[in-house]
Amino acid sequence: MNCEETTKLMDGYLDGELDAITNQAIEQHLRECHNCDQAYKTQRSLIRAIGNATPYYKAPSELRERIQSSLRKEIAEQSNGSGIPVDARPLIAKEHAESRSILFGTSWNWLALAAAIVFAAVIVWNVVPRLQRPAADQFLATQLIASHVRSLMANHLTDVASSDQHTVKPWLDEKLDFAPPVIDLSTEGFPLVGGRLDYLDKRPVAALVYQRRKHSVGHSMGNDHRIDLFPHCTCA
Amino acid sequence: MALLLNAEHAFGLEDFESTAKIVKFAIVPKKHEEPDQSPKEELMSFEAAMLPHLDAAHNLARWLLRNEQDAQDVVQEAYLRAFKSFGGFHGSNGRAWLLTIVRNTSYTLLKKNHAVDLTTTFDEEIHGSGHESVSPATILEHAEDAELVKQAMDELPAEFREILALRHQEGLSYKEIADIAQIPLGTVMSRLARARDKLKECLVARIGKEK
Repeated sequence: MNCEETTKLMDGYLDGELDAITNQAIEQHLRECHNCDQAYKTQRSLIRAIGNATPYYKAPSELRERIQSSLRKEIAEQSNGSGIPVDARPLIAKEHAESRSILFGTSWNWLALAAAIVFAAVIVWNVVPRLQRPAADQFLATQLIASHVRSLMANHLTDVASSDQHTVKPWLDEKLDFAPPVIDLSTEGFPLVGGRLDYLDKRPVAALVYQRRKHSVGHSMGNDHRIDLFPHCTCA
Repeated sequence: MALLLNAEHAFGLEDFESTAKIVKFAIVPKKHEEPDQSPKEELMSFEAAMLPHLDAAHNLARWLLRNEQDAQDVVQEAYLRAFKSFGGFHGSNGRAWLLTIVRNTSYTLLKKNHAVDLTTTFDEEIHGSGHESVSPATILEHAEDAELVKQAMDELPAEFREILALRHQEGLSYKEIADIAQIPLGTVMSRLARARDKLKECLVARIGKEK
């Protein structure tokens, strides 16, 4: 071991971090070399002085309290919304209330928020058309009734008068671009009177007229059967 | 598809039984998925393991940041980070693990404040041989002056302050220091030697000023 190597390993030697063989080699050199031994003693004193003189900054007690309360807040937020084990509730009850009061803070549960948005979208999707529909439907119903009443006033109840569905249906098929179903309801007490062409909701429709005792019943059909929604439109 | 399979299984009694067993099995692991520690218990074991090292954490942060308020904020943040990743800690050296987090959190703040003085090589040449005029005895004499040593140490770059605090105040081994400072084991000794030399230079400069 020469002086250069000893100087290089000096700190490791002083810190007791070298292996036994290197330690022995350094000790051997220090016994032989006065300069290195002197440097060793100075460095050893300096290291001791540093250890003794530098202040050790102990943590103030309020830091411990700050940390403990922030950790409790953390677990309260973690379990906010997820399943909270019952035994953990008393510990976090206070923080739980606190994190609720700062609703717009960081404690938003994004999954819940997403669910709320989807829910709102579903409501809008379903309710808005329903709010708009009655006006349109009501208009159609008015048209339907008007058409029926008009047919009665002008004594123009039917274009094709027949109680036989097999006569009425081909007649309607011929006049329309769709084939309306013509059902025999005589067994139910609604014998067929005949069929008529109407113009409803900007398109030609089939109107079937059935008899109920002394009343006639109009039943109009579009090619998508939408008007089936209003099958019972009776007049004297 | 699942429905189809179930329907097929339902035809044979044995098959049906095995399906029923599978269903039972699917329910039981659900209960096992719950964490075996409640958050409260986890917090208790975290605090028991980590709060004893609060002084070490604070001391390191205080030396690195040279500011009491920053040190407290960093330590609090580091404890929060440590708690979040506590599940992944299975080692036995809680102090070294915590100090690594404190150190990284401190450097994040230092970098944010552009206060990282990692450029340790540039002025070593300039101050290279200043202390030869001051005798070792004079240096040692002043090395017992706590205020002077503190001022000298605060002048050092962060990585020197860090390694001196870890070695001389925490008494950590080279291995522990290597882990915390994330440097190779061989670098620990050379950096410590340079840090001590630099501290000596700063002391000499201060002694020179006093004269």
